[in-house]
Amino acid sequence: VRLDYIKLNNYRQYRDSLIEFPPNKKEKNFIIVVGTTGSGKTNLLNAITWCLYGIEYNIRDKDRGLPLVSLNAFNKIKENDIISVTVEVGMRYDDDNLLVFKRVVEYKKKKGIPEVIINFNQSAKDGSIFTLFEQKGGDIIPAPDPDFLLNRIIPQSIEEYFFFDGERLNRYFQIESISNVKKAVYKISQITLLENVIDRLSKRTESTRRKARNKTADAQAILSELESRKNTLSELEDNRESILEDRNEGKRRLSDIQNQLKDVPNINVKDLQNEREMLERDIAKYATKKAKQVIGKTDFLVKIAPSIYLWDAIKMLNTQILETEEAGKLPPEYEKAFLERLLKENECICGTSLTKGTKNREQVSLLLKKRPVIEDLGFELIRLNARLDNIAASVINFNNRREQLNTSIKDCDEIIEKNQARVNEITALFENIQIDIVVGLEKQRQDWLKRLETLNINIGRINADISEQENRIKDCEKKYNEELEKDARNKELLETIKFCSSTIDVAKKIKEEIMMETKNELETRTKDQFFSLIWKKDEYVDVTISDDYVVSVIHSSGLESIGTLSAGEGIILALSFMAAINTISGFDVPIVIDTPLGRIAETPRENIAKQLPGFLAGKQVVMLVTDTEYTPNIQNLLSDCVIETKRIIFQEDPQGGVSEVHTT
Amino acid sequence: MSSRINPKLLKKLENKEIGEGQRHLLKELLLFEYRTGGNASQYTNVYDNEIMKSMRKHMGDSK
Repeated sequence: VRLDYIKLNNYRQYRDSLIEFPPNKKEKNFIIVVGTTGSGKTNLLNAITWCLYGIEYNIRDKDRGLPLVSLNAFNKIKENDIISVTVEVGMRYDDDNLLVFKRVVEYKKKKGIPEVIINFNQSAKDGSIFTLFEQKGGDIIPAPDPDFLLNRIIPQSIEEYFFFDGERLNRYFQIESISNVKKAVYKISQITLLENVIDRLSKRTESTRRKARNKTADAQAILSELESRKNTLSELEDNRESILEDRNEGKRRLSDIQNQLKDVPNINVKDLQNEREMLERDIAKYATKKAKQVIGKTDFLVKIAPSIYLWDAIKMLNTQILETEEAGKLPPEYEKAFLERLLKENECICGTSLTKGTKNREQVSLLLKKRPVIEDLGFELIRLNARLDNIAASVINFNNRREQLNTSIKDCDEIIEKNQARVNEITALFENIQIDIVVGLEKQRQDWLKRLETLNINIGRINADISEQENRIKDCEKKYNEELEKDARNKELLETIKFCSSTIDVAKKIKEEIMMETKNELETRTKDQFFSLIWKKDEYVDVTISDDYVVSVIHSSGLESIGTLSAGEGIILALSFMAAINTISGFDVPIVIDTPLGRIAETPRENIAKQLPGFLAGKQVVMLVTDTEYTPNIQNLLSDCVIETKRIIFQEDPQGGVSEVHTT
Repeated sequence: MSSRINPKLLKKLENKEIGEGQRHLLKELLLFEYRTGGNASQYTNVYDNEIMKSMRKHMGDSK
C-alpha cells in the first residue's frame, strides 16, 4: 500500500490543498516535504492520523485547544453558517486499486465560535464521520466496515511506528510505553489471532467436557474442581501481569533516582553511585552463577551417590571378573547357546555324531552342565567391567570434583560478600552525607530497592503458583477423562476433548516460539542498526530487549544507560527500533516521519542520512523536514533515494495563516 | 491487500510433528479469526464445524 494523495479542505492552515505522492522508482523511495517551523509540516502528519483514526497525535502547543477548522475559512463565514472540514487520504494497492479514506466534521458559527454538529447516528466522539471507498478498476464501492478494513491495513495500535514525529520518538522507551512495545510485537506477529484461537478452542473444549453423559459423582466433583482451578489460574495470570507492571514502574523510578544521584554536583557522588551500580550488577551475576553451581553440585552428588554406597560391591565384582578373565574363563571357551545347538542338531561341527546314547553326546552334555555360572554371563560381564572401570574412575575422582565445585561456590560467595561490603560502605556514606538532596534520594532509592525485591519474590511465588495450578489442571483433565472412559457412550466425546486439547497444546507451543523469535529478531535488528548509526562506537557495547520488553542500552562500563542517552542518541535508538519493527511486521505501509533529524548534531545527522535509506529500502518514505535539518550535505547524501521534493509555502494573514504545498 | 496472515505462523503449522487434523483445525481457525478480525459474534458454530471436520481428518490419520 502506498500513499497516493492527501486532500485537505479547511483543515487547520490548509484551505484547499491536494498533495500527490509519486510511486517509488527503482531505488528511489523518499519524498521530501520541506517547510519552516509553524508552516504546517506536523499538521500534515496530524491530518493523516486524524483522517484514519480520528486522533491528532502530534498536536503542537500553538494549536492545542484550537478547533481543527481553518481559522482563515471560519473567520470569513457568517453567523449560523456551516463549514465542513475534510481530510481525504488516498492509498493505492496493486497499482490499479485505490482506497479512499475520508473524514469530515462540520462546524456551525455560533456567537462567533465554532460549534461541532454531531449526528448521533453516524459520528465518532469528536463529531466526525469516517468513510472508506474502494475503487477497483472503474468501480467505486463503499466499504461496509471501514474501521475493520483499516485495522487490517494499518492497525491503530502500531500506527506510531509508521506515522511518527521525531519529537515523540523518545517516548518509545519510557517504561509507560513498554506495554505498547509488547502489544506491537503481538500485533505484528499476529499472536493476538493465535490467542483468540486458543481462548475460543479452550471454551469449546470445556463446553464439550460438560456434555458428557451419565456423569458419576466423582466425574462431577472433578469437573467442578477443574473449573474452579481454571478460574484461579486466570486470576493468578492477571495478578502476575499487574505485578510485572509494578516492577517495570519500580525499575523506571529507581533508574530516575540513580540518574538524579549522578547529577548531584559532587563528583564523588557520581563516581560512588556508578561504582555501586556496577557492584550490584556483579552481585546479581555471581548470585546467579552460584545458584547454577549449587544445582550442578547437587546433580553431581545425586548421580554419584549410588556408586559410592555400592563401592564395596562394585570393587568385589570388578575383582571377580578380573580373576575369571585371568583364569582364562572369560571370554568363555564355549558359549552356552553353541553347546545347546550341537545337542539339538545331534552333530558336532566336525561331523561327529552326537545322537542320544553316544559317549560324545554325554561329554558335550557334561561340558554344558559343568560350566560355571559366571561363564554364562560371558560377554555381558566383559562389557559390564568396562563400565565398572568408568564408575571406579569417577568415584576415585569424587573428592577432586567435589572440591572443585566447592571452590567455585566459595569463590562466588567471596565476591558477593566483598561487593556487598563495599555497597554497604557506599550506602552508609550516602546516608551520612550532609547533603539533603542526596539523603532524600538515597532513602527513596533504598525504598524502591526493597519494593523491587518484594516484587521479585512475589513474581517468583506467583510463577510457582501458576505452574502448580497448570499441573493440577492437567491432572484433573486426565482424571476426568478416565471417569468418562467408564461409559462407552462418551467415546466420541472423549476423542473430541483429547483432539482439541492436543490442538491447544500445539497452538500454545507455536505462540511461544513465534513470540521468542520475533523478540529476538527485533533485538538483533535494533542492535545492528543502532551500532551502524551511532557515532560513539566504543561508548556502548550492547542493546537488549528483555523478556518483558524493556529496551536497554549497555554502556561500556557495564551500566544500563537508556536514561542518560542524549536526545540524538535516543532518536537513533528509536529510529533503529522503528526500522526493525517495520521490517519484521510485514505490513507494507508508507512511513511518514516528521522532523527526524531536528535534534541531532551535523555529524550523526549525516550518518543517519547515509544509513536510513538502507534500513527502509522498498518502503515509501515521506520525510517532513525544516530547511535547517535538510542541509545541502543531507540533500546530497539522500539524493540517490529522493523521488520528489515538495515545499510548504505559508502565507501570513490577519484572519489566519494559510499553507499550500508545491512540488519543486 | 498489504496485510496477510503472518507467513511465519503458517510455516510453523507445516511442521511435520503436527498431525494432519490439528494442522487443518488451526489453519482454518486462524483464517477465520483473520477474516473476522477477531470480532465474530457467531464463532461457536464455525468452531464446532471445523472441529468436526478436522476430527475426521485426524481419525483418518490415526487409522
